[in-house]
Amino acid sequence: MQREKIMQTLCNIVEQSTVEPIDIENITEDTTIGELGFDSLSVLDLVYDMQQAFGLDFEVQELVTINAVGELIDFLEEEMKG
Amino acid sequence: MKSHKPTFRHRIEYAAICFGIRLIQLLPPTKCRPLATMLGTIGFATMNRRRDIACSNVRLAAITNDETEVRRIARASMIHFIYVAIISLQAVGGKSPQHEIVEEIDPAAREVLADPDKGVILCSGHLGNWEAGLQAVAKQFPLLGIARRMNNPLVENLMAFRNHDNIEITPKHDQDAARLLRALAEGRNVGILFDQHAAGKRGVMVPFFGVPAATYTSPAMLHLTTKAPICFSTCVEIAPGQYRLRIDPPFVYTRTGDRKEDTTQILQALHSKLENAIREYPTQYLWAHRRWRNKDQSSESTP
Repeated sequence: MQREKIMQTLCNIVEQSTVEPIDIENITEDTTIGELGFDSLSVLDLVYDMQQAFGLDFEVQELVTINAVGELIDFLEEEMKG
Repeated sequence: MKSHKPTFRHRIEYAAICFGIRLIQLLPPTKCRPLATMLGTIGFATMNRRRDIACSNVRLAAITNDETEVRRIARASMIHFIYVAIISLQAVGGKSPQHEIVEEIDPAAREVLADPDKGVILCSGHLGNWEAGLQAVAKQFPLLGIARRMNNPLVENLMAFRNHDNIEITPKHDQDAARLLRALAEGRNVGILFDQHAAGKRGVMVPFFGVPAATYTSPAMLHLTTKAPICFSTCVEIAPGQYRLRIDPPFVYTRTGDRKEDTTQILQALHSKLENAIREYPTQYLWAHRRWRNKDQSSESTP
């Protein structure tokens, strides 16, 4: 999947999962996960929806060091390559 | 986000609470239960709203059809929770608990709890003495407890007494988004009280004693995303000063891909276990909590 397509899918998921209202037009690869308005519980919805949308079954501990959207896209790209 | 700078009111509250705790700490252990009985009886007679909520909840749960028994259970529940609060506050000053814990931990649960590579989601309800249960678990296994942040930041700091080498309490909605995921990945177990009303769009409706109750999805979502096993746990008083810590075998749910369906199924399984435990010890459940807010409990009154 192309990087832009991953970004678009991610933005759609974020819009559905986040509790805080967020303008997805402002999301860039430098946006941090914290800036997306997720806390320790709402982030679980994001993870679940990512696993479903991208058809991935990754170990979530690999996500804990990710800070920015760009890093998350890198991670998803790698996972999709298998 | 709310400011956590203490206000004048917070300072007054804090001073009053510290004074109360100091008095409670001076209390000999043998006087804790008589004090709780006295305060609970007075509270039941005077705190009309709490009494009405407690009685209404006992009726909704269909614990009994006898109105005298409804009131007895609601009153005993109030006394029980004042007693639990008193003995918990005695621990603030470092007083050793006077109670004994009898363990009934399933061997498979013990194995996963001790696994240093993956944590367990330990789920319990507001039954018995969950605080004593939490502390007893943490003596053997590393634990991260999730608790509501206190409105008063000074009281929040006071509650940090519960943190020690093997246990840490984290606020329910921690700004560190990866905190729970990291804890489970590091082999720490996460303790959650799941029987609380979920406000807004954060919850799903789950039958509790057959009545739909808005419930936080967090234990289920943690399980679905991390695949960490879930264990149901209770810590109830089985004799004066003697508690039984029971931890059920771990269970694993296979996701269907429908988030609402998955979370509802897991939470329903947990509520079903809690219902059974409450039926066994109805006077030790926190009936005064407005669990079914979709029902207008405040308008019902107790005859």
